[in-house]
Amino acid sequence: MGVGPYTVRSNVRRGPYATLTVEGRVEPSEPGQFYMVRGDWGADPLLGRPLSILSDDPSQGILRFLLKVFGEGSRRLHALEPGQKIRALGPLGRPFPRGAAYGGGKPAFVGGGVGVPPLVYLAEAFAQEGRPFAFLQGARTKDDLVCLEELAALGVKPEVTTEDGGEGERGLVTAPLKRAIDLGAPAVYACGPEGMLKAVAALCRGRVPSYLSLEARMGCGYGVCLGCVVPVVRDGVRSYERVCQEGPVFEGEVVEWP
Amino acid sequence: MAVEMAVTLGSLHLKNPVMLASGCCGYGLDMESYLDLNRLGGACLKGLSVAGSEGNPPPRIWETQGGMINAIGLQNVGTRRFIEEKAPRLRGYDTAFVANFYGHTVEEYVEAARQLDGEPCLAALEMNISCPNIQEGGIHFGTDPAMVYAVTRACREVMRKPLWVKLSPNVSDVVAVARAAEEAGADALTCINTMPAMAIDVERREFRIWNKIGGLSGPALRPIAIRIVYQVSRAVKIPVVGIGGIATASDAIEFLLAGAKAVQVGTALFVDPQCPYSILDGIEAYCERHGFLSVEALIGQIKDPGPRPRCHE
Repeated sequence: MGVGPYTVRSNVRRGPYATLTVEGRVEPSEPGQFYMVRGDWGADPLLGRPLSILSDDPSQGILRFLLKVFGEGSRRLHALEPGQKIRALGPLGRPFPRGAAYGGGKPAFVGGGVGVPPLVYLAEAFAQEGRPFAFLQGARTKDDLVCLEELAALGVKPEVTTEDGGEGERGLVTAPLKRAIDLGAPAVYACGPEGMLKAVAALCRGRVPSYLSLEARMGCGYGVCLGCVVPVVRDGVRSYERVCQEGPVFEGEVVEWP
Repeated sequence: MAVEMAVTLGSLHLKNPVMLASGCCGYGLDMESYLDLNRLGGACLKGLSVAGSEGNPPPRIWETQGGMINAIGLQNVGTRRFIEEKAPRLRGYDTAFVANFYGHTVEEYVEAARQLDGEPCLAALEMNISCPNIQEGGIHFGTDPAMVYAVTRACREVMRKPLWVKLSPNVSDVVAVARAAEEAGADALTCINTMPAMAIDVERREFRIWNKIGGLSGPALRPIAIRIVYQVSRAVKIPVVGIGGIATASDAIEFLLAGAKAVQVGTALFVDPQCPYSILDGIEAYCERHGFLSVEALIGQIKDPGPRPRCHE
């Protein structure tokens, strides 16, 4: 497990988004895992920020994230310049389980905003194995479409929906997802805003297994603080599970939405 | 020059003064990937109750300036499951595990103490009379000296292991509470637990955490903790264990100088699970630099300025 310092190699900003590339000692990871990332700035803001891995290369010691400004911690990460040091703890959490996607047909990857990076990483893994998949990206506007260059580099053409119709199909990503399920998608993988994940879970329920990567405020990221729990129901029993440890990927069927 | 890092708290010997704080290291096992627990003085485990608890609904945490507010709600597996499932895996370690425990009534405290006292992997028990996050019990036990005396006495009578009492900062006279615990037979006092706190989302006009009130921890809490360690360690004969916002060796040394015989690292573990190593190295280097042959020699060594004239006298 890496806990060490990393050096910013580049931080490419586009509006509130930034693609952060750092170098250091990188442990092998799986799509869906994350790091707790923090700059080298005293006690305030105190906690690391959980960022999904966009891609990594342990042999070259390279780690990449996509982040968006939400508050003070992400604002400072957005402002990082090459050469600055950060700390990153990871890789953490359980990755996307891939077994269900291997049954024939095209699994659907559904992402929105900063939920897109783990699906780009998943697409990279599928592309390397030569397995087919459909990549769906939903956004409010054209400016919220992310990772388009990374997807192009993988040879992936995402099916895009925007709420204002500024790019791709007008509407929500659930429309192309419904079509993908009708076409026989064996599994659905999703990461994005809570409303999107809730809709994806509802659409998949009883038809196709869905694997949702959830977002939560985290204290530690590695299971000890119990701050990031979500209610889940397994075999009729309700309990709290840690997004950082039992997740961040949960089966859509078990998540209890607020 | 080798610095003697060991410290003695009554009958309990710690190989060094740096421990992990309750609620910040799970049942110890969760730290295994990051820390060699055998290098530490000890670890205080997540607070246990006889019945266990599923904890509070989310949101449970909120970050504040230089700290965080939590209302986990003492989620725990219960004393019996701890003894059956967790404790066997702790028995191979050579470090002092301290079980933190709580109840909603004196009877529940006593039953938890009785059960945990029989567990061989535990070096001591730490009684939580100061958690702000449970509906009844918890902090209410810790604010009234007579109540502190009663619950401490009742647990002391059913135990053989050292009994530590973890005090709340949220009292007007912490020395009175500390003395009540000492008189009732406490072997050490842990100062301090989190400070009851609140944060509000002004745009939505909502509480930041489900429980409305949570406990403030982290560096923001440290000056309050230092003050209480100083006051309590001068008022009681039993050892004081310092906790509150320790992230660096300098923070830990501040507690030792104020009078703590050992320290616990809590919230800082969330930020860097390996920070206890740098804290240990830094304490050792400090002792060398200042000519202290042992950590024990450093404890309480803040210089007392004595009576001083004010400028107008």
